[in-house]
Amino acid sequence: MIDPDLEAVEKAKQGDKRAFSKLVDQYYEMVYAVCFGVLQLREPARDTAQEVFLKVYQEISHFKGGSKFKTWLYRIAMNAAIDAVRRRKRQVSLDATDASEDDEQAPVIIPDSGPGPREDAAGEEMKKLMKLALEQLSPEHRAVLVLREWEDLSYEEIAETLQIEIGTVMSRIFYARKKMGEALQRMGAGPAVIRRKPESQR
Amino acid sequence: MISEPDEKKIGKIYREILTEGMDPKKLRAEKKAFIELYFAPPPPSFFRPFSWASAAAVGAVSVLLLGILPNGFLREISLNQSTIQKTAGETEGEISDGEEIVFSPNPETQFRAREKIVISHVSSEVGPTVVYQKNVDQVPVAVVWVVPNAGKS
Repeated sequence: MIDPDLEAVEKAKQGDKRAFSKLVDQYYEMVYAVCFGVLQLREPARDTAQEVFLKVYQEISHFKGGSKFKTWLYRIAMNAAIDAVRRRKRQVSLDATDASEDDEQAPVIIPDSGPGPREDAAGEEMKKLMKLALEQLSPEHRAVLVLREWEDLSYEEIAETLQIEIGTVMSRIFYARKKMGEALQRMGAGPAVIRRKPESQR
Repeated sequence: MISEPDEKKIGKIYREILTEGMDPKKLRAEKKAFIELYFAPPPPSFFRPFSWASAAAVGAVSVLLLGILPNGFLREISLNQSTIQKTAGETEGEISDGEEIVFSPNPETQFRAREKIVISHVSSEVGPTVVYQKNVDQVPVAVVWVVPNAGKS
């Protein structure tokens, strides 16, 4: 197994910032994508991605080369993104103490997408439903999904990255797709009336 | 169980959602700013061989230019310099016996304006270090005087 990043990593271990900046340049979009896939929010995803690189720079001397640098980076990014989701949830639960219980449980009718070709409107509606379905997934499920659907990693690679069993990877992907499939079915069933958390709780 | 077409459709919509969350232009700008902020290479150092080489090259070129410049040109420059005139005038003269010399600012008033220092406590615990402290009630400042070679005879 030859790691294409090994040379840059070795230089970065010696404190070569220029070498590390090449790694940042190469993997910034990838790390952002996985963070966004888990967090579903742009700015927190950006902040988390940048925190990941700063952490990796500090910890790079601990990288022993047992896996590829990219795999190690994925792992750190995933853990950071999942932690960020949990931190946000804790923060939101503290902030949301003023909100009334009734408001939280009130059904929200997803607004009509407005005028336009029927297919476009249906597509937009579908995306909204899918986003809501994604929000209801746990960060661990979203992590597996983004690695599979966006990064195109195999089940084995996902298992290695997240250090979980392949069976767990498969079950998480199955569950995530099922949830999204339900959104598809709901779309075909008529007006989308679902329970949705207020925007402040996302 | 999800059918294969549905699976593909889910994957397609999912990727669209992620694409919407990624503005490539904005991402590039953020990446550039981030790299510049944290991982920009340090400015060129005086002690780096590259700087020495550059300085040596500039010096060598200067010497070469001076060597090949015609003597007439150099003489012209020196003549031009002699034409520079004095811009600031000087006043010279003697001070008569009865005339009072006035210093500005007046040193007497200056020194009088300073607060009188009262030494309320003096202690010396570590040999050459002498500590003088003004009255703490008035001015809570400790003054430490270090006398080199004090205590050595």
